[in-house]
Amino acid sequence: MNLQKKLADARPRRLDPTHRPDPAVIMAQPRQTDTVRRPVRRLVLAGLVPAVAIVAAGAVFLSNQTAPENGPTTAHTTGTEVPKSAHELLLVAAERSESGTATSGRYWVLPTEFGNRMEVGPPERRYHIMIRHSMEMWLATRSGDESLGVEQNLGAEPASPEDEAAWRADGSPTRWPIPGPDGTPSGKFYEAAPGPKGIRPFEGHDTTNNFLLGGNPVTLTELTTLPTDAAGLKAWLLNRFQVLGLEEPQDYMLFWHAKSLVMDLPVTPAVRAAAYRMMADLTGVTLLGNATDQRGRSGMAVAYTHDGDGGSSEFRLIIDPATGQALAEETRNSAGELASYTLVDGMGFRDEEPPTT
Amino acid sequence: MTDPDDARRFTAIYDAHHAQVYAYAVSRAGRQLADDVVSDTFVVAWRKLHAVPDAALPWLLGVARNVVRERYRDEARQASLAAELRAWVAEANADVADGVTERAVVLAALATLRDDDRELLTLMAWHDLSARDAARVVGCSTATFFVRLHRARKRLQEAMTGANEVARRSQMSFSTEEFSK
Repeated sequence: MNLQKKLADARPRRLDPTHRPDPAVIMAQPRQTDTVRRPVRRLVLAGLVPAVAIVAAGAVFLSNQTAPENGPTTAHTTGTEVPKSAHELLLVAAERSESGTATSGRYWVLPTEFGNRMEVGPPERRYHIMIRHSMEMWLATRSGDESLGVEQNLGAEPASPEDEAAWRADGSPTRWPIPGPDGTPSGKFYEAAPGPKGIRPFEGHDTTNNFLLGGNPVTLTELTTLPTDAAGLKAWLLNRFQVLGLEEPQDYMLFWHAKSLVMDLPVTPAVRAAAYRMMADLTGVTLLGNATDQRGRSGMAVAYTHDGDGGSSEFRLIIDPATGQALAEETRNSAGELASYTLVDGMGFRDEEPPTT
Repeated sequence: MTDPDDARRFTAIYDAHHAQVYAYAVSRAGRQLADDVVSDTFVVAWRKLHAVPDAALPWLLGVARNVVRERYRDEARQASLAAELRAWVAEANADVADGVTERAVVLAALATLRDDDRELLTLMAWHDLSARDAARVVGCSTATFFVRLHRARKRLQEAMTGANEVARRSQMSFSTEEFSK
């Protein structure tokens, strides 16, 4: 039995009233506020609670005043309480996740936006642009249904003020040639301007390969049988790493896979909570504090630093502590520059038909 | 001279929420003071009926909260509340003939927590509020509320490990008394 249930079950009977006093007594109180007004204290609580000035006058009589719109706030409720560590933030996110209701549906819809920092420009002065595109994925949960993506090129622009200066020196181009595999022009271009939305069917996709856990296909059946406790989930993942022959550092792999579970896979709230709890116990996860994603949504970020072949990169996960929803992942290079990001906005199950145009 | 519509609306609000406000008042100020707290709260609701939203409970509890804090600032409330917390444990222990009751352990642990922690925990567990409404009652953002709630739960869990021992010991001494009769 978990703590919440134990607490709920412990509710004392003494909390229940034994009688119902007649409200007529209260309604007999005068309602005009022209009784003696003594502005003793003004208390304003955030939200719906009105300001009330209370005078302890010995009997039940109260004089009260309406507070102005922007009254003072009581000292002891001001300020935001922020988690003190990555561990705490992830446990809060776990608690928030687990109170979500599990749902199901014909399609798992994942609205995402991707960004990548690309190097462009003339050989003598290279610079970087951030290219962005959106992809709303409609992933079928029933065999026989087609999966597709609604995609849109959101355009590209210089990634930083320095890049902007170099871009101007380059003649402020509105498109940049995309190099082919051997470095020669491919004939395609990154466009500065956004493009129209288009439907892209996912050929060869079915419920066994629609969903990717840590970059590798995982079936819907596997997802529904994941352990709902952190230790069990960790063991399941470690076994998977072995089966797939994945050899990166263990904590990094666990972090990466937990990220998939909380951010973009159709798993139950309990599994999401387990993934957060597993993440909370990994070493190398630090709290960065308040962060906003590339769409300006605010949350709190945890970071994992990974030393790879290209140097060390900071892998950032931005979480909304109020809902436990993972908003975005971002990768930064050792210079702290944003190299790529993925954000998710409004994922969930849907029963209606996917768009056709 | 009361507007009949007002009287009807107020009575409806009173009937719908009187017991809930009473429960909150007991948990914050003890049974001794609860009737007065409830009465004060509903007088405010009567006087500011136009300001009471349709979802009245969080509003009413916010007022009750103010009443408790302003009117019963120190000794009176401390005494009443301490007696109340002891009564909870006694009531839970009296429920079961033998064995340590889980309820007694929880209530004993709850009694050792700070008033703020206890309020956070019971707003959802006993007073049936959603997290959003509970945050409104205590006057903080929902995000802050979750962080505080998480910490309070942790402290309750820690207190329960200790309380379990106390409850076990007191139950054991009760059994030996029975034996010696």
